[in-house]
Amino acid sequence: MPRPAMDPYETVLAPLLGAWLLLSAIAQLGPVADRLPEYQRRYDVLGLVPRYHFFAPRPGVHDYHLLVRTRPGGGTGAYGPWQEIGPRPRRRWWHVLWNPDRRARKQLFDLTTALTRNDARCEDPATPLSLPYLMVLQHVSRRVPAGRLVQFAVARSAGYRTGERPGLLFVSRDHRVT
Amino acid sequence: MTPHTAYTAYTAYTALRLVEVLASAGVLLGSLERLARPRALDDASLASWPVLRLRRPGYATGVTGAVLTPLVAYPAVLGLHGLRAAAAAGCLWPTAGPVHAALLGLVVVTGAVLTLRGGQGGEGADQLLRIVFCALLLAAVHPTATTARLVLWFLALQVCLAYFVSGLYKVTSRTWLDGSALTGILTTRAYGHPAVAARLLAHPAATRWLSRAVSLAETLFPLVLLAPPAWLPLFLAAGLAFHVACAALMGLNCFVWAFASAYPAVAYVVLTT
Repeated sequence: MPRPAMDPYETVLAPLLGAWLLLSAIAQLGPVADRLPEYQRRYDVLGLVPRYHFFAPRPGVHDYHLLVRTRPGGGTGAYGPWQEIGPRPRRRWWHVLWNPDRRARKQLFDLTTALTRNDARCEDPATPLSLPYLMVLQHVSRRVPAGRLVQFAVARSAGYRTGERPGLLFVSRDHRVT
Repeated sequence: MTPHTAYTAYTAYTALRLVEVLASAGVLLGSLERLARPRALDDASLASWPVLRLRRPGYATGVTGAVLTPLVAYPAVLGLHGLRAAAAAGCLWPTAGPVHAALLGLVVVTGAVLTLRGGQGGEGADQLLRIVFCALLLAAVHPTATTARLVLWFLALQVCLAYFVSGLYKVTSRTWLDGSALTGILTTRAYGHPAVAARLLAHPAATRWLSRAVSLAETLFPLVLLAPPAWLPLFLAAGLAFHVACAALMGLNCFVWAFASAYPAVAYVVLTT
């Protein structure tokens, strides 16, 4: 039986969905077309154009750790030892159904990978003004008594691959907590 | 083209309803997980709105920021997640007309506002569910058989694109072909599992072939649209098993619901062409 002709709504919807699919396909070229991810970040503010290259082509194969140390605010005295803050993942059987803690780990992963991408030594004056830096700084500052100096670092470890040594990826500048 | 006679009872409306139920379960689960960890969104968290709003000038000082702030600052953002959870729960029950469109619209709008806020540890499952709900809303505001068919085709092609791209970038990656990417991921504490990690490290040859098999299976998933309808259960069962394994081993539980929600659309396309 022949299908009826499309009404005006359907006539608009068909090319709209087609264009959406086309844009989705183009967006998948992100890993091989340098400027596409930047365009996507700038214009796709509602996140409707997907990126489907999950864990590929180069997946993260390390765990990231946020470390903090403090010292007295007068500038005298040495820093205390680095202390890790943030979630410590441990796989549980119920994660197949319920796993609320993965969001916090993903937040940390997104911020630390952004922080460590370009200026690991924190030498660029723009780095402390970047959003990932400010986010981590305000997060650690809330855990430190006012008047002390604080410094944070990002380290990575190889999880269950115990033969690989952990490494320090980024160390922040000193900041006085007010 | 004539429908596959054994499955003519599987209408576009039935398929859309199944998509909606599975996607709603995924959104409800994701929202409840966020509500279970409210401090991950407060002003001292790694998703602090006073800092996040600095990333775009319009958010910091403009009208957009003035509109967004009362909605997405802490603790209002928890209310937004609660509203999203309630709307998704409402979609689990069959409704029709304006009520149905309003519930879907609430899920879409709350999702859009939360995406504008950003910084919440979003993942690929959230992205796919956003697309599914937008498509469902487009079908609900003008519920005709043609609209339903268009949306089902769209969703089926989206999920095929997702598997194909994910697989293609793996089969062309040296680290996926030699198995080191798979070992690397599953030996992290964030996405791994201690017992599986030990086995992968102990059996590198088996890991290499497992990695190649996963990559190839993802790439070939779109063949479901060309294969005989009798093969459909095989493709969908393999896909579902893959996502359940990822949920159990990697903790990626919401991917099960997000991807499974598109399977009724795939089934519709396969069974009716």
